[in-house]
Amino acid sequence: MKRPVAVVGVGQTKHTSKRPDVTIQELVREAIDRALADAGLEHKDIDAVVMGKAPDPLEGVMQPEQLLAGAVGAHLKPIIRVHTAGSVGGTTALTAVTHVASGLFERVLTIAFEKQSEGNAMWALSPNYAFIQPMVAGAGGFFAPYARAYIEKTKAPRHIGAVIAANARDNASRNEYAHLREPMSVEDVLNSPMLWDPIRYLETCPSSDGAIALVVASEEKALKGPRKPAWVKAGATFTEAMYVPGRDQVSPLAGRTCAKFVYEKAGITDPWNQIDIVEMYVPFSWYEAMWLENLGFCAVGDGWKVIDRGEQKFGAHLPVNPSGGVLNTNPIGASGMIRFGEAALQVMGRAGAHQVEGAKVAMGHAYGGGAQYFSTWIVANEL
Amino acid sequence: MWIHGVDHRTELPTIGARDLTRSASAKLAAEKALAMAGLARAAEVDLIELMSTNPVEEMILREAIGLEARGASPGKGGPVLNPSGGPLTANPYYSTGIIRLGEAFRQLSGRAGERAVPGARRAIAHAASGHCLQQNLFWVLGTERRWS
Repeated sequence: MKRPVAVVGVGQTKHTSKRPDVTIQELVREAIDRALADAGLEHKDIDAVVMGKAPDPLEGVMQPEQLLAGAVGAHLKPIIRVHTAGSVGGTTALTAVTHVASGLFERVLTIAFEKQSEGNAMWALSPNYAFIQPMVAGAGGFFAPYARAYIEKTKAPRHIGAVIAANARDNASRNEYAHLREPMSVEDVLNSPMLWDPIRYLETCPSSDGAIALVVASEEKALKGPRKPAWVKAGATFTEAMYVPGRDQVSPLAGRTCAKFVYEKAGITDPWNQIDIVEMYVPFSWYEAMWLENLGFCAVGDGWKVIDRGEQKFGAHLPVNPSGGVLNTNPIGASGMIRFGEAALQVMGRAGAHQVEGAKVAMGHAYGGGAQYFSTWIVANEL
Repeated sequence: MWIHGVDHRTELPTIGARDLTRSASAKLAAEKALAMAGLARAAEVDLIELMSTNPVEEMILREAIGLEARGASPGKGGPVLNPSGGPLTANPYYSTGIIRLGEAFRQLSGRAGERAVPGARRAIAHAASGHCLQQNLFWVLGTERRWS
């Protein structure tokens, strides 16, 4: 990066299945007001707004950046909208970072949201395109074969998915902003109906209404803030084609490349020991095992063993998704930025009841499309 | 060709929230882009590719970027406007803005064919969006390198 960039404010809504009490404008404003208050700033301090969300058909509001220009405080400021499907929250945060790193902007407000109750995401994501494999009833139907391929390749025992889901719920119980927080055991998960083999009902992300906003700032402005910022050590977005014969759909090349790129930029040679916590994008249980391998935290085929040994639990060697993750909170367009924001909160030491003790280096990760868009950042408590 | 200046501003989408015959976002974005390019006035460039999708937008934008005052007639000389024909002759909507940038590039790089503005060294390219012209973006391009 051309110059250092930091996260100086984080704000999110209490995520839930329906927020009939607010409009989309009011929902995003709730997160923005909290992020600005967190940073000790006002709208007049913001130079530009970068917003992201998943496909417009999810709520049926086309070009939401125009609808929301007033609500996000962008009047007579630059506003840009980013879209990379499920990874959009991560890509949006990285676009804000690029704005500041360029030297043209000092403080940028970045926001991501989804109000899933106003539409039907599953069917909005299930159109038929010429020459393209159909989505088969939304993302779960699309990704289940990849999870099956993972099980086939690694000989992972079938209960691993349920262990991942139950652990994520345990984590969510400590996060006041999480959507699903009710206690849930491995047995509960195993007893829930199979939706898309091997993914059961309780191994699937919910539909949430929610928003998150971050304020990113230059080094000079970050040091003037009321609290210790989270420094962005590296960030990257990598993409690959959705349908290419021979593509590794279990561990996509773009994901591996993205992780390798940010590790190099952040000076990380041993992610398993140098990263204290990771917030990764796990909308369906098995992806946690798959991404542990894809992100280089363990050898290929060992992801499920990390889970089986419990090394991903809160307080264990590498806490994965201490917030509860996408499995318990999924306002789609915001889900990536929530990963990035939660990683920042951890290294700021302000994650509340789900704070990982002594977290100094954290990774935020998001993926989208047909597991073809990847965004990650590494944040640290020191510049 | 070199980018000398760029700026982008938005306004509210609410019809009735402002005077629709004036564009504060275009005025501010043009001022900022020109200042970044070290120019005092839009009239200092050789040509302007403006994303005016109807004649009224063209009048609002000419006034906003300071080519002439409200009600005044265009004087003689000054930058050539839309030598490409502009959006009134071709409007693939979400490409229309970047076509303005491409046309400005072609003019400055001597590849504009029969529509070439002789000796063009500086150009403005503009992109807009929104049902009440509420998003405006200006590029100032030049043949000489400005930034090191």
